[in-house]
Amino acid sequence: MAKASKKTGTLTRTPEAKNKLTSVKTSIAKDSASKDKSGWKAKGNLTKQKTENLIDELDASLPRLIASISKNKEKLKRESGAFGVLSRPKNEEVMRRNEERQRTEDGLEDAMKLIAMQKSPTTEKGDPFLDQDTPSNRNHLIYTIPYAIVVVVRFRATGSAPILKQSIFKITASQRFQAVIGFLRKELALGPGDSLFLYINSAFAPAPDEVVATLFKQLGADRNFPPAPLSSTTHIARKQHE
Amino acid sequence: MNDEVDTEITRQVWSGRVPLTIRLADADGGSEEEALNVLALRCAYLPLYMPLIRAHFAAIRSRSEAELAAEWWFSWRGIPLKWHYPIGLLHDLFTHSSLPSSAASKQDPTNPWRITLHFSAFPADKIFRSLPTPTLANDPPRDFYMNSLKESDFIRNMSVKKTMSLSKPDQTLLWDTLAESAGASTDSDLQRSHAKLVELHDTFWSVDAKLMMGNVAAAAVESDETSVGTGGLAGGNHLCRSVAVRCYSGWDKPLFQELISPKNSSGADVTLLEALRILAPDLIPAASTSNDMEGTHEDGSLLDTVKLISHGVEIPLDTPIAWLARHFSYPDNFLHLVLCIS
Repeated sequence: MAKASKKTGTLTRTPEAKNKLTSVKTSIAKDSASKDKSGWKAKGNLTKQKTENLIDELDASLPRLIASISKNKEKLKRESGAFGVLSRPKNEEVMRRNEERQRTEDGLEDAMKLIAMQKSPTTEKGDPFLDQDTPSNRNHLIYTIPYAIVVVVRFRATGSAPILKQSIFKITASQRFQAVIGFLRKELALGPGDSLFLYINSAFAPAPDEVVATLFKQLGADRNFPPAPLSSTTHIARKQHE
Repeated sequence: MNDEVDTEITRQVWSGRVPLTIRLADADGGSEEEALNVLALRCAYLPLYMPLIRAHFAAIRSRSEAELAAEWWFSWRGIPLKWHYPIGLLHDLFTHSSLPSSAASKQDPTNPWRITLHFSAFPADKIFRSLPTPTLANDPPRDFYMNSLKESDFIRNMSVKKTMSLSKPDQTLLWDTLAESAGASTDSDLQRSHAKLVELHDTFWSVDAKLMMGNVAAAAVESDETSVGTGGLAGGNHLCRSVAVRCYSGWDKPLFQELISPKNSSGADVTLLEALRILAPDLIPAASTSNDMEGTHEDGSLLDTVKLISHGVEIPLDTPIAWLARHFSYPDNFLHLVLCIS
């Protein structure tokens, strides 16, 4: 409960944020639901159950994850210079705070996956579409706060795409889809000549500048709408060698 | 029936145009006299005008077209233009939303819209080149368009069945008609141009109606046969799950996109204002957020400050969103609205 009140404290600084906070909470709950293997039927009240599920899931893959996490930490340290290139101090600060909060909430597994995902903003030249940190945009920081939550992404290989060792990742919801592409390219160690195709729910390929949170919402993970048939944002990747 | 399409309106939307003045960037050796004037379709995309533009500059500069075939991009007051936005949307965005101070200069007005063409220094950090999808025709704009269609289909129906069940000729017809319309819009004989556009509009709609309008019939069929799938929505009076709407509050801000059912729980049409409250709850004054009523009277002050623009037209906030989606959607079947708060 202490955690929860801490969360409230950060987010209710402005009265307008209050409404958003509710949506943040629902979103987080939804996020939890996505971990539920039965799909989207379960809503809310899942934080505890989720953690348990996670721990169960984790048991099997823990040693490998720990190994990869320490590797990623090293990488992150090396790349911290590149991180600064993003030059978005305020947003970054907010994001980091949110990520930390998420970490305490969701425990070890999340922390590790978050760090794994953190590689994504630093891919090559950084996320090209996060250039939107203009002064006018900063006034609208309130909109970016709710999106500093996390979306669970499940990659499914098709065609000649190699199967990923780990298929479920988390990504900050405010990221552009470009970050997912960049992350996966890195994860699959694709060269510039390899092409990678990403579809959402086997249905369509979004533009790289679309925001992950928006795509997530499109799947119908809203209480007013029927749940999406597939659990979580499912991407299908295909790799083609030139 | 309120679910019929007023063809007169969709024709007007289809043939809406923006006067463009295109000049080559200084870095690429452009000069004022060479500028090309085009009446560009609001519904079309900038890449569709590239053959014309390339031919124009190739002729003047006595350069080979191949030389100009390299990567190209447009900018306005130094801001790179996203080629995957329809021209009308770009124009609305820059005309009606606040601009960064660097671009607030008086030069390069938006009417005619003076944009600059570049053949070098592609800003890969600002705009993307192509979609990471298999390119059969190696035609990024076409691929992007098809994926946008599927995306809007997905938002409306939670599946892309409608798009995928189009025959191959029908699928290609959509983009080809749009491309042909872009060509027709540059015809100097305005009457002939208009007639051609109307004809192409009808061709486009003959196919697009299957995507946009099938909802009523499909919903009826599904409720009859009680088929499982996308149907069976609460109340049974939903035409589709959501309208495909995107709301832009500025050229540099993330867009708002939410699922908005065309009917509310009591079966009444959702108005644009109600949709706006779902899309951008933070931009609407807190007092009115909880107000589920029509709101036209109580929120007089709010309505004075909020404007929603699409196709260059300010749209009354009491317009039913479903009607708007049927008539004002761009060819990608998305309703692109520009939110302007004064």
